[in-house]
Amino acid sequence: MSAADALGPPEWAGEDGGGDNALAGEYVLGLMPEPEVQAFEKRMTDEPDLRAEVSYWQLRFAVLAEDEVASVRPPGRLKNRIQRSLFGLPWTSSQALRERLGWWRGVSMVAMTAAAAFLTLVLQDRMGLPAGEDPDATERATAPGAQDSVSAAEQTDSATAPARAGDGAPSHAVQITSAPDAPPLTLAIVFSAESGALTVSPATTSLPPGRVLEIWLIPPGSDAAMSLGVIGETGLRRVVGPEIAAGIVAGGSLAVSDEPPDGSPTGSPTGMIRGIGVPVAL
Amino acid sequence: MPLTQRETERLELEQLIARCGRGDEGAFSELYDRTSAKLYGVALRILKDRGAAEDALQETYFNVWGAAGRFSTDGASPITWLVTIARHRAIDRLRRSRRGDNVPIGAAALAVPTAAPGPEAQAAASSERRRVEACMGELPKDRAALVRAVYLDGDSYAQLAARHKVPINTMRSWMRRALISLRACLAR
Repeated sequence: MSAADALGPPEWAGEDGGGDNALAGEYVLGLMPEPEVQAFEKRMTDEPDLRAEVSYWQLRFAVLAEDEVASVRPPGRLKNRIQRSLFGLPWTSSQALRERLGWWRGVSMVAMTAAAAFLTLVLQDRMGLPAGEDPDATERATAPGAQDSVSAAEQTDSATAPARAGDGAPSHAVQITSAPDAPPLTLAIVFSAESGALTVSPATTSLPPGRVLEIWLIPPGSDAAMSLGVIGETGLRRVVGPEIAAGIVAGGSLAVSDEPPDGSPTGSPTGMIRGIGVPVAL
Repeated sequence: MPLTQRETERLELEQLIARCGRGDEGAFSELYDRTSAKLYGVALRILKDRGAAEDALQETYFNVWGAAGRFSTDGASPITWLVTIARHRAIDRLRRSRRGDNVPIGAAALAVPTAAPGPEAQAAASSERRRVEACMGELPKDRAALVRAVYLDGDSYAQLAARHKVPINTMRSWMRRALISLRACLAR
């Protein structure tokens, strides 16, 4: 056999005259070894010809699947599952946000306020902070890069413990109410008007594969949602800008939607609204 | 000249995808009804497990809904686009289950395919379709079978090498030679 059989070189380009054509074919087939994939993808970003070659193979191999794979009717319940995941609520991206959130207007404000106040007591108790000074504030202020790892480590104590609020005592808390027909969503949010620190606990809920939760502010009287960020496994903590801070303090709604892994590609919620709540002053 | 059945279907699917891109849930429902059996077939062939194929199909339609607005009618034919997404989702799932981890392989390879430059891709949708089958037919039978095993069944070099009792690098040489022959035939 050829010398290549003994120990494959990292790059085969040119060895057998196939060069990038064959490499792109291997890539599209998913046969390329992992270390080569990374190098290849790096090249793809810079080389239009390489991208064109990848498209070339994609289109032609797809013909095999189109022509040679037998159709099989999927179970009927799957369509329901998919539609519920995508449009679980009666809303679409073409409807006004106000319409999409119509269900939520009926939630009792009194109940929500009571729930948020109670939630805050629980959070204060569990975190041992808020009411006044944050004992770690100075230390963290001098080592800002350490913040995330510190809070992540703390969270290993309890999966539901929220990340610590940043500097400044929380001034608002939000109780998220799960959307009807959506899987229950449990999430705690506190906000400090003083510092602009927004802290969101990790969410407890079920998500379709490949989806993440993103949190939004809908300022009072507005139909446009502003993204506050994606809620990761350790929750979310960030300092928000003055515009968002003003929206929270003024009683704008905070909504949670499910989105593609990097968050909504459009800047507005594209997935199902999973829950919503209003900030309650503490 | 009346449109052929395939051309009519292509136009209708293009319109449905365009409407999905504008958030039309009714269009999504119809697109699903018309394409899910083909895409489920693709996923099932690769995953060989109904539950896993259902999950892959769900991810496929999530992708389709999310990317419909970026689908370009001067690129791949709609069914080619859909099949490519379905295969990616199924292969991604297969790889993760094989490795027992959650690291997706080749993010770009699994990304929603972008439309190739117009005329080139248009060709792929019509006469190139026959050409692909013809060129596959020109490959030695066992080599064409290798390509099919990888594309349609998601086999890896390691699996093929074990089945044919050759070193992995020998298998890779075979596959690359098959791809080079196929590419030369397609370019003729």
